Amino acid sequence: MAALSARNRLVLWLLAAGVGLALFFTGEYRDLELPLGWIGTVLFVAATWFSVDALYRVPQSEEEAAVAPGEWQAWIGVAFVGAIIGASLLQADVFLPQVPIGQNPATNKAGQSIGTLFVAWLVLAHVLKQRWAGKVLADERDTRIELIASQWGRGATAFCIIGIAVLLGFSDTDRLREFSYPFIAQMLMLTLLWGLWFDQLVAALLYWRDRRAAG
Amino acid sequence: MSGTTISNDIRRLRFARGEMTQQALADACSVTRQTIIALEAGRYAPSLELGFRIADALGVRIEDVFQWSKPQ
Repeated sequence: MAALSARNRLVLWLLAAGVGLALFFTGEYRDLELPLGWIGTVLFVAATWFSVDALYRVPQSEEEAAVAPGEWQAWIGVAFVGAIIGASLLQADVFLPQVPIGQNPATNKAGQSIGTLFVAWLVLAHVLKQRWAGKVLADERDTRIELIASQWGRGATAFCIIGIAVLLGFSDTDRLREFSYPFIAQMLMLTLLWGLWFDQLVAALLYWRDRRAAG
Repeated sequence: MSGTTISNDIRRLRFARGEMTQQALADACSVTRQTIIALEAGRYAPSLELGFRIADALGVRIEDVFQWSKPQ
């Protein structure tokens, strides 16, 4: 690794983080003796940590400078919130039993993996802010983009809540019995995450559209 | 952000002012370089305050920087 340039080292660590994330998502479902899900989590966290170190050493390129800090944060948000939604959907069935979340080991495990993603997102966001220390991170254009994006995010959340209300309101009583309270709680959390993801996506697209038109 | 009815001469005035870079103008106005890029491309209409700050940084009057074309 020492012979590689800082940029190549960063790319390799990011690839390792991607492999870790893939194992994190699929490891539990493979019929292997190894705890691949756990190994994936460790690999992802370690690779993210070393990526951060490599990121500090990479000189700022023209490509990086061309993208606003707000756009970087929006795309990273899209990736992480998307990963969290994906993890939540893959493990949605563990919320189906009529057992309180605190007393169900499977939901605790799912919560831990989702929590790991949240922590990795926070760490990455913090490190990027450190890298941009001294620069203007947001101005009135960013505020305007955030405002438009949050309006779309609110609309997406409202749409989803109406969908859940219709689903619950028009379902047969027998069908409703299959929905446990933890599952409904998880649906509400997913609704919030969906709104947040949509907010980040719209912001990222607005930044990208401005940049593309200016390029 | 969609296009705007406010056009500007920021690019020309930057070059007239000793080839001032976008980053230097951005720093002088406390905005990101990408906002200056969006302004020059006509993708963003600035607030009145930012308009005055840009004119001040370029050493000209605000009407020398921005023009408004009345929508037909």
